[in-house]
Amino acid sequence: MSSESNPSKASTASSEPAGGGALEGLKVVEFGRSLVGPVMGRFLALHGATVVKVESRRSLDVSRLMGPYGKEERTPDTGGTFANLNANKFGITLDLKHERGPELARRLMLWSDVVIENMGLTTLDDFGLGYASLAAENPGIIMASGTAQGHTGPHAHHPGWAVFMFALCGISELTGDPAGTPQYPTGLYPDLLPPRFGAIAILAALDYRRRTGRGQHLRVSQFESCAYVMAPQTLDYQVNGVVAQRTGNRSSWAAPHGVYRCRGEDRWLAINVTSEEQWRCLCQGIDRTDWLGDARFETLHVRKQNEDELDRLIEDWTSQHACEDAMRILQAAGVPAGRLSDGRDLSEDPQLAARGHSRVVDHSAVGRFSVESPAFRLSRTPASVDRPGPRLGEHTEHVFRDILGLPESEFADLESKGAFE
Amino acid sequence: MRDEFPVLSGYRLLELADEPGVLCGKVFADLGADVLKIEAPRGGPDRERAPFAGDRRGENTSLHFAAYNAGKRGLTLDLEREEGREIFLDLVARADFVIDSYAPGVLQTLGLEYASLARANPRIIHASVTPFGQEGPYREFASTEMVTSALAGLLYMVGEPGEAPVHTNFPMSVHAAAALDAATGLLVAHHERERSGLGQYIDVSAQEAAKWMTFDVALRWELEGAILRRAGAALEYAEGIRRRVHWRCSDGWVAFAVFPAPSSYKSARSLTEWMQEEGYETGAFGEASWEDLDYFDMSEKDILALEDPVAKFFEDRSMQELYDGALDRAILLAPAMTAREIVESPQLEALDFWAEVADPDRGGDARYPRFLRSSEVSVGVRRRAPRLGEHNQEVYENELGIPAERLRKLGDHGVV
Repeated sequence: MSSESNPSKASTASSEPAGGGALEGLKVVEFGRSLVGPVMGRFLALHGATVVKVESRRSLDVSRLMGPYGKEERTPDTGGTFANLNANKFGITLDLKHERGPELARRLMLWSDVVIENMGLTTLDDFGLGYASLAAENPGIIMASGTAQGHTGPHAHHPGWAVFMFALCGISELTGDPAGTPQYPTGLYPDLLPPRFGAIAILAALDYRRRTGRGQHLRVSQFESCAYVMAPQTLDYQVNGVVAQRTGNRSSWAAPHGVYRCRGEDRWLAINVTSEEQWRCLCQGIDRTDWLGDARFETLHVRKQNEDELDRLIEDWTSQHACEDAMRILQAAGVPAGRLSDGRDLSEDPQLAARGHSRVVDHSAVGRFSVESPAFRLSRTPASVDRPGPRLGEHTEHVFRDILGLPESEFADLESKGAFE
Repeated sequence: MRDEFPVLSGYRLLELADEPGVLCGKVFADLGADVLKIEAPRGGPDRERAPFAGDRRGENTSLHFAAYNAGKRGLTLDLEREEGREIFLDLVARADFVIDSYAPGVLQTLGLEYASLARANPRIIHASVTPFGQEGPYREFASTEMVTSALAGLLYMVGEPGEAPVHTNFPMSVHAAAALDAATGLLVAHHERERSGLGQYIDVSAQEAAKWMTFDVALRWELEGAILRRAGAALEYAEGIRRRVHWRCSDGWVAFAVFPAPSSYKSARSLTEWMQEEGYETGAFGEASWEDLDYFDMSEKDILALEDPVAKFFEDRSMQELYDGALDRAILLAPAMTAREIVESPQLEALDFWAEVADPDRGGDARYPRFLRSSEVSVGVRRRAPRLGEHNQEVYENELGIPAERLRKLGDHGVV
C-alpha cells in the first residue's frame, strides 16, 4: 500500500523531509500517545526540528485508530487524526520488549536533545529508560513527560481518559445552563493545554541548557494545566468562598449577550453587546433606533431586567437573516457578533483561508484534508507543513541506519529477529 | 536538586496586553523572566474584571487581574504621548520580548509596530495576540471570547441538540490557548535568534488557537463529509451514536461511560461488582457481554436502557464516595469538580501544586497554581500582582536613569 503524496496536485505537500525552520538541528525523540505527547512534538516538528516518533506494532499510538477515514481502507495508516497530529515527524517501530529493544531506544534517546513521552507513570523507567538513567549518561538531556494527574500523589494512577478529564478538571461543571445538566464541553482543553505548557517548558529548558549545560525533567499534567488556567475561580473560592457556576450564555455585565437562531437549519449567531456604545450601534445597525428611547432597554440595568423580552426581539431579527448576513450587518455597525461555524463553515472560512491557516494535503492513503499550522505565525521563519504523519514504521530503516549508523547486516539481523515489530 | 536560578532568568518581556494575551506574560513570569506589564495611566481593562476580593471593586482588588498578573512588575505609561513612546522605545532597547493585544493597526498608528521596535532593537521578538490575526476579512471584527469561539467552531459543538449552543464559563477557554501559543512562538523565535542574532514578528490568531481545540470537527467534514453536532451531556463518538457521560449524584455530577476498550469493559465489570456488593439491581448492565456488543449497531435508546441501572447507584452516592470507589476499584469515573474540590484536592496538595503568595490588597495570603514541575529549577509565582504603576520609580528612575525631577514632571503631565 502506498501512502506517498500525489505530486501532481498543486496543493500537495512534499514527501521530502522537513528542511529549515526556526528549530532546524534540534533532535527530538517522541514516545507519544494520543494527544498530549504528540502535540508537544508537533509544535517542534512544524518548525523544523527532527522529531522521531517511536511506536511498536504491539503498541500503536491510539490516535492511529481514531479515523476519520477518507478512503475505504481502514488501517493504522489511513486515519486523519494521526496524519494531522504527527505531521512532519519520522515514524519508527521498535519493540521495547525485544531483548535489544531498550538498548536501541537508549541509543536513540542519547542521540537526541529532547525526549517527549506520555507513556504512563513508569513505562520508560521499567525499561531502564527513565530520566535519571539517561541523565546519568548525558546530564544535558531534557525530558518532557505528560500525565493525567502527575507522577505522584494518591490519584496519580487513575487513568486519564479525555471524557473523564473534562469533569475532573472542573470544565464540565462550568458548561451549560445553570439550572440544567452540565454539558459535554467538547473543546479539548485537557488534551491541548498540557502540550502547550510542555512545548513552552521544553523551549525554555533548551535556553537554560545553553546557559548552564544542564538538562532537566519537565512534568506537565492534564489536571494541573486546567487548574492553572482556572486561577480566577480558585482565587474567588479561597478569598471569597464563592464557587463559580455555569452561566449559560448570559453575562452579569452585558446584554444582549447570547446565541440567536438565524434563518436555516441549526444556524446561529453569537451577539455580545458589552457597552452602551455597542448597544447604540446595534439599534442603529438593525434599524431599531426606537429601542434607544425604550424604557425597557435604555440602560444595562433595565436590559438585564427585561432580558427575556430583549432576547426574543433580537431573535425576531436574526431569524429573518442568514447568520453570515446578520454577522456582517452587526460587525459593520461595530457590534461583536459571530456565526457559529460548523465543520463545513470552518473548511470554507474566508478568514482562516486568508491567513493560510492550514495546508491541504492530498494523501493517497488518507485522502484530501487540511493540516493546520500553529495559531502563531513567525514572520521570518514560519512553520511549514511538509508531510502528514508517517506510516507505521515508515522511517525505521532510515533512522537506525542513517541516523544511528547501524550496519546493514546488523539492521537486517535485528529486523529478522523482530526487534522492529 | 532544585536550583534557585529560574529557567528564564535574565530575560525581559514587555507586556502591552490584557485578556487575550495576558497569560503569555504570566507563564514567562512563572519561568523567572522579568515581565513588565505596561498599562495606561488609568489602568488596563482587566483591573475591572470580576470577581473582586470581598466584592469590593477597586483598581487593586480584581481577582481575575491577580490570577493572571501575579509575578509581573507593573508600570504605567501613556503611549499616546510622544514622551511615553520615547520611554517605551528605551524599554524595548533593553528587552528581549514584547507581547501586545491591541486591535490590528493601533500600534502602527502610534508608530510602535514591529518595524519601529526593530529599529530600536533588532533582536526584539514581538508577538501580537488578536481575535482573528493581523490580516484577512475579519481582522477588524469586534469580538469577545464567546464570539471568537463561535467563529472557531467551538461554540456550535456544546449544548443540547436542537437548542441554542452554550458557552462554557471555564475562564479564558479560548484566550488561554492563544496566549500560550504566543509564548510558544516567542520561545521558538528565541531559539532561532540564538543562531541568527535577529528578532521577528509573530501574529497570533485566537480563532485559530480555538479552532484547534476541536480539530476533529474540520477533519470529519473534510474526510467523511460529516457535520459533527453537539450532543448535550453526552459524547457523540460516531455519527448518531451518543454516549451519556454526565450523571447526577447526590451532591453534584460524575462522568462515567463505557467505551469499546478492554480497560473500559473491566471498569464496567468492576462497577457491577460494587453495585452487587451493595445490593443494587444491575440488570442489563450487569449481564452485558461488553466484548461482543456492537455499539455501531445499537440505537441510542438501547444504549441508554443498557446503562440505566447505574443511574440509581450514582444518585444515592456523593461525588467523593463515587470517586473513592473508582480509585480503589479501577473504575473509569471522575467527579465533576468545582473550584472548591480543586482548591481542596489532596492530589494537588501531594503534587506541591500551590505557591503561597501574600497579597494584602486581596484579603491576605492566597495560593497560586503552577503549570510545571522541573527536576532542576523552581517554577511558579514569586510575588503578588502589581498595583497600578507600582514599579514606575524602580524601573524609570533606577533602571532607565530618568532623573527624579523629570519623572515627577512626567507624572504631572499624565505620561506615567
